[in-house]
Amino acid sequence: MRKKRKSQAGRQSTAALAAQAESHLHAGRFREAMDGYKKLLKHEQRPQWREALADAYLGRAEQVAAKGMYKEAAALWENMASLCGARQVERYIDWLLQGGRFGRGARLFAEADTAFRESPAGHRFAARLAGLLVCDYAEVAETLPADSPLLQQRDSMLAALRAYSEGDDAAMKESLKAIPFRSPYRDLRLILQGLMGLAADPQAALAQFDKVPADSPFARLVEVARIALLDDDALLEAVAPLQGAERELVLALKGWEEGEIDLARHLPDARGANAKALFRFAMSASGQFEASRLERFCLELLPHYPQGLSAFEKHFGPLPGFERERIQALAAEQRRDASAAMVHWRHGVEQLTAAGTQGDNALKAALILRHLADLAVQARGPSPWNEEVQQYLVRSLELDPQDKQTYLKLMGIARQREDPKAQDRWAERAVGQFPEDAEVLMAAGLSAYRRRAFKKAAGFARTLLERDPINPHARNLLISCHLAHARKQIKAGKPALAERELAEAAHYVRENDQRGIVELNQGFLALAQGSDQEAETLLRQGLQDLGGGLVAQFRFLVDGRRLGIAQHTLTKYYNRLKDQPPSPTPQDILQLAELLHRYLDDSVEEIPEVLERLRKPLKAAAQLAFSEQALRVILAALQKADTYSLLKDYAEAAMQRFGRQPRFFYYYVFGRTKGQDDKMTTLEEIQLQSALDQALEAGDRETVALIEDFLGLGGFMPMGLPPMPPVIEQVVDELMDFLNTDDPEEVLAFLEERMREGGELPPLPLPFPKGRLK
Amino acid sequence: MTNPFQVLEVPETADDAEIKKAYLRKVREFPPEREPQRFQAVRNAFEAIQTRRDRLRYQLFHAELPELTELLDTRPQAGTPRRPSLKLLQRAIAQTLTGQAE
Repeated sequence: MRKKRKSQAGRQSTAALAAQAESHLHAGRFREAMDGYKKLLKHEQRPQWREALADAYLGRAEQVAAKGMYKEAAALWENMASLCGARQVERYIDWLLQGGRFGRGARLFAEADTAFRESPAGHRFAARLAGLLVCDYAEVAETLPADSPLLQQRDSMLAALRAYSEGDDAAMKESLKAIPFRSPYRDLRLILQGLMGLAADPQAALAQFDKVPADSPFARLVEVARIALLDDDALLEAVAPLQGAERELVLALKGWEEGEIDLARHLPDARGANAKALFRFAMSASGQFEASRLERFCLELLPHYPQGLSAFEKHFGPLPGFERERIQALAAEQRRDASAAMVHWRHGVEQLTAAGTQGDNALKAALILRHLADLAVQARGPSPWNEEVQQYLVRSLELDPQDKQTYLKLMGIARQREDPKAQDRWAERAVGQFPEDAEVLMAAGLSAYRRRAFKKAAGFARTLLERDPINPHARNLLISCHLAHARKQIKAGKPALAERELAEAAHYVRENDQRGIVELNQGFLALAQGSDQEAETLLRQGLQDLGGGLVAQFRFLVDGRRLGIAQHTLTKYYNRLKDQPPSPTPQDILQLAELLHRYLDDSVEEIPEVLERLRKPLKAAAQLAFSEQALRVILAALQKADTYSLLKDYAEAAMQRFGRQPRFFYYYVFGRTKGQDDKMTTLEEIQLQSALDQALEAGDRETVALIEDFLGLGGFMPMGLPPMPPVIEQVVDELMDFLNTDDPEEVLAFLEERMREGGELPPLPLPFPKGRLK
Repeated sequence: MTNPFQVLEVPETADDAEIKKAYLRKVREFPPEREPQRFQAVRNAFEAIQTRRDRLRYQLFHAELPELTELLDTRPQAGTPRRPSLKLLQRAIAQTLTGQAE
């Protein structure tokens, strides 16, 4: 009973094993299938299991051959043949040849029957052996019978190859004639014929290559030869993966050198690479480029990759001292280290001017000094007119007096510093250098006007108008000069002279607003002379020409007050002339803001009082639908005019409309505290600090400078600088030791105290004695 | 291409007159109404190096990352195709047949 159960279990086990082996075989798990069928064959030699074992071996052999393991594939075939008998000999020969066992492969081929040798697979083996024979594979030649056609035709093929190499095309053709059409050397002959015409007739070459079948052993050789026909860009891509003799063959056929192929290999990585990678690529392939262009290319990379400086100098020779400074300065600018950039530029100027102040070096030094002035402005925000900037510009003019913009900037600096003598001096020098230049004449005219040198200003404006009769700015300036002069005469009680000046002004009038302002002043003169009727007509006409709205009213009040007319008189006349002034539009307010800027630049003193008069309509207008940009212009003008109440109203309206932006909040606090930081609440101070952080984060330099100025932080640290350099960190650490504290706030307090005493940061490292602070 | 000398195809030693001549030639080649973008590039290049002062300013301060094409354009022309030696042919045939490098 027990024996019967065991037999049943054995039968079930065999059946299960067979099913499992079959499953492995069908699923491509050949190794498991081989194990299974070997076990089954130990139980019983069933033919179908033997066949299945052979299939498993062959399947496994194909798998390893696909990974390029031809020797292992051949060994598996041999195991299969010993267990199950030979089959698929052509695959075995293929693996033998691919695995380098050429002698055995050739022997098997020679021993194979005619049917196999005449089969397509047989032809392919013969072609492969033919190829090996012309490559002097002795083991193949020794294995083949002496009468083999492969050996008989080899010498002709070799002679053809040699003749091709030596450029003897006639001899090559002659040798190829000895090779029959259906020879195993047929494909090689086609390729050789294609190569012969490769340079002269690429199309014919391609036609020859196309005749080689895709399953030919020489198909790979055809692929390689085709690469030599590609244009440069495609060739660079195609040649990159080639190696060894294949690559050399393409290079030779194309006429390239090995260095160029290195270039081809690295080019894909270099495209779109950063400065460091580009620099390394250029230096590694230096032999491939024209030397001076390579030097220029690498030099231009150095500001982005200054670490390459020593490699550059090793390759191209040392750079002049100035060039080194220039590269370091540009590199510092790249990393937004304005202070370091300025140091290097200053050294550069010293280098350039050491040998004299003439020629290109002087001009270069002047350009750098102007660049330094720009950097100083950038580093210090929108209040650029400090001594340092002025010094750079003045020195640049000593080296190159022909730069118009520098004169204009210096005139601007003098005006900002309220130094009329300097302003006049720079204007005179500018006009002396550029007597015909419209921009210079206009700037000199404005400068004179703002200094109340009206005759001089009128002279510049008139000269400019003679040269450029349609210049509206010159015309406005000339009219303004005559109006100013007329005001002077009216105040001095010389109505006849005033009338003459006003007539002069009227002579230059072209636009309505120009006409309107002249008419207002003529009206005020008539009023002063007691001609009420004439005054009323002129004033009415003037208001009308000025648009009749808030702007007209503003100009009416300003020009009236400038003549010393009492406010109640002005109000009386205005109300009589304009019963109900129209409500202001956003455009009116914007125009008013621009006028405010102009009047304040001209130092018109009556503005705050007039604005106070118009406070009610102006406050109501704060709710109009202004754009964000318009509000910024208006707020800047109100701040410039010191009209704190309106500034607060407009800033509040701006925040309601566009959210609590740092700039709007700053104007709000400035307006509420009347520009006095000690009137800020603690909460406002914290909120303004937070606004400063936001502005810093947004890179809004103007707002940062405004808030810093208000908070008394000063703009001594340029924005966007990298983290503290290690030397400063070290100094701070030393200071903490010195002060015997772990609290950075104490270190800051100490530094602030030193700054208050000395006015600036002490030089680093700080010259303090070691030991505890008493 | 951002190098103004290359855009105008003038040497870096070119003077004002040569640069103006090259600019006018380029404007004829790329008139603004037909090739607005290329015209703008030409115009920018001209403005960058128009005068001696401009050229010095460009040489001192320009810091754009150079383009690789500026270098590749200078690559010497490939030599004339040549016939491989018999030895090289045999090595290449062997490699293509056996898949083995050497």
